[in-house]
Amino acid sequence: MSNAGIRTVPSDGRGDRRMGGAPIARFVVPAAVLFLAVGVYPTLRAVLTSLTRYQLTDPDGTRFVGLANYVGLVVDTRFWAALGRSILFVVSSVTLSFTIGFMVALSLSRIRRLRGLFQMLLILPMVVSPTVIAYNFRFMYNYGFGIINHIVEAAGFSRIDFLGSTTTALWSTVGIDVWQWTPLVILIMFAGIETLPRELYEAARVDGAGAMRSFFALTVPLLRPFIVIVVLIRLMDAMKVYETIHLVTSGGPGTSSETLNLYLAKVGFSWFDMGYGSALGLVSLNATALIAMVVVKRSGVFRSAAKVQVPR
Amino acid sequence: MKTIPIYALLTVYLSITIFPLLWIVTTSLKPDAEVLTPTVLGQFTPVWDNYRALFADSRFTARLVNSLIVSLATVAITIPIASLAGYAFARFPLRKKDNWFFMLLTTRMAPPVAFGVPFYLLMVRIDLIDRHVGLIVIYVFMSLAFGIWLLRGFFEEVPVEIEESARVDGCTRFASFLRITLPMARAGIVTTAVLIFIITWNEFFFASILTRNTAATYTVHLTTYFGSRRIEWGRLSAASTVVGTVPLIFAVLTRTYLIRGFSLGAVRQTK
Repeated sequence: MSNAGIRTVPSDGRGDRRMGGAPIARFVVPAAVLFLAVGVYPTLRAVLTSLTRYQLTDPDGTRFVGLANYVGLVVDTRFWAALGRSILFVVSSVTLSFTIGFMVALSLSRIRRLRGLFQMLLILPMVVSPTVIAYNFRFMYNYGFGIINHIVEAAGFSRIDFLGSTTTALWSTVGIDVWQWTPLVILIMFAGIETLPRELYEAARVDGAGAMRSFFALTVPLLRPFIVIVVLIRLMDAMKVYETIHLVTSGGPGTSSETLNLYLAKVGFSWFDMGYGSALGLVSLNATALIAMVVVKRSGVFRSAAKVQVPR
Repeated sequence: MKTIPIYALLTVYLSITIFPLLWIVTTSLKPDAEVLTPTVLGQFTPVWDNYRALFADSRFTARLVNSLIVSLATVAITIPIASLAGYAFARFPLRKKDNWFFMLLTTRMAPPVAFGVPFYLLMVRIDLIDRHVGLIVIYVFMSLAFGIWLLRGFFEEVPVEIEESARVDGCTRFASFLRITLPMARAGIVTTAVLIFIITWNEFFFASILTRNTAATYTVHLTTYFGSRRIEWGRLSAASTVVGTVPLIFAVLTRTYLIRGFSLGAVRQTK
């Protein structure tokens, strides 16, 4: 822990300039071919399909409709409601998991014993399939026999209809996502806390800074790269969530927990509306890519020139 | 003892984190009559009925094998291709490198559901619905960027000087990659392989739209425990335990590098 700290490691410039561009082809061709072979058709097909009325159950009725699907999207209230729920889901899941995770990571850094055990156990929720997790939570959330309601009752409260009520269904799925991904926040933030230089804190104490002061003046700014990374990853993962909601509530009751991904899947694979489904998919894809790009470029975390190093 | 409240807090958090996993295992060991009761181990006699029924069901074992085939094939195809490309990104100067990476990473960042319709139409077109190959193609496509990204980081850590001296001795670029850099980045390659395996093993969405029966994986199979009349929670828990154990074993074996993989290579633990 002596020279612990965040260093930036230049990774460019180690490349081999003498070799020029010639042999690079041999190394990238397989990947490029695969990307083009698998990627090009779906991309073009999505764009074309989005300009048609294409019902999978009635392929003969397919016809060109121009931008009608996109216009339809603008006036589709169910789409906007789903988007709103997605935003609510992502913001609350990221905020909650970050807050809890950071607190636990700080606590973990204060103890000596059992750290290894903690770290090992924290990996477990992250590697089990979201499908398994979703079904198991559906079991535990059950109104009649779910273990959570048994505990709620034993604690002297009345049962909660976690998945059957329009007010709690979406929040119950947020709970699952937070449960599954807070460990990632803990592990990354803990790795970050380990890099903090102890001398700085001693100096701050000598200068009369209290615990709160040194937390906001030292810990938070020093951990900034880790905070950015962890929020970014949580953000991307939360935007992808599908099983955790689909297999638990199917978007219900009604449409009260229907997020954008669920609506998208429903349009494509329950209603078989390929035209509108493609339009929705393209919009959602570009929107998430845009959000991710803005965050990545702004933060610069994944720039190849800088990496966060964690001495062990 | 200032640390007692800290230990208390950590214990509470850890219990909440581990409990659902223990509950799956507990439920899987219950006799049918006990499944819906809140009894814990010790209050009932554990039985293996659910596991016996599970492995007697040829559909479950077939789908477990499908998951295994698809995941292993995905890893086996992705790793060599991603190693080559990752090496190129690590060693060759390239203009606009970051933009390339960003394009690559979109396949990792974007919601899979957004790719659903076009990939489905592709698979219908080339007649690969409900075929292992169809699923493998999609999974390779989805894991390639992630693989290239992680492997590039691991290759960058292999000192370029060793390779250079080998090339001075007459080794070709490809041979120096194969004989020097690749073996030296072994741990990184194993970690990348494990992560891709876990992600593929756990995938649900594409498996649910691209398979019906023959190529169905275990994630799709779990749906079958939700019958129209009743839900077989006991069987479901046993199946969950079995399929959950696989990634857990791999994760524990490679835990040193796992955080690096999960943080998209951003958090590195130096030795």
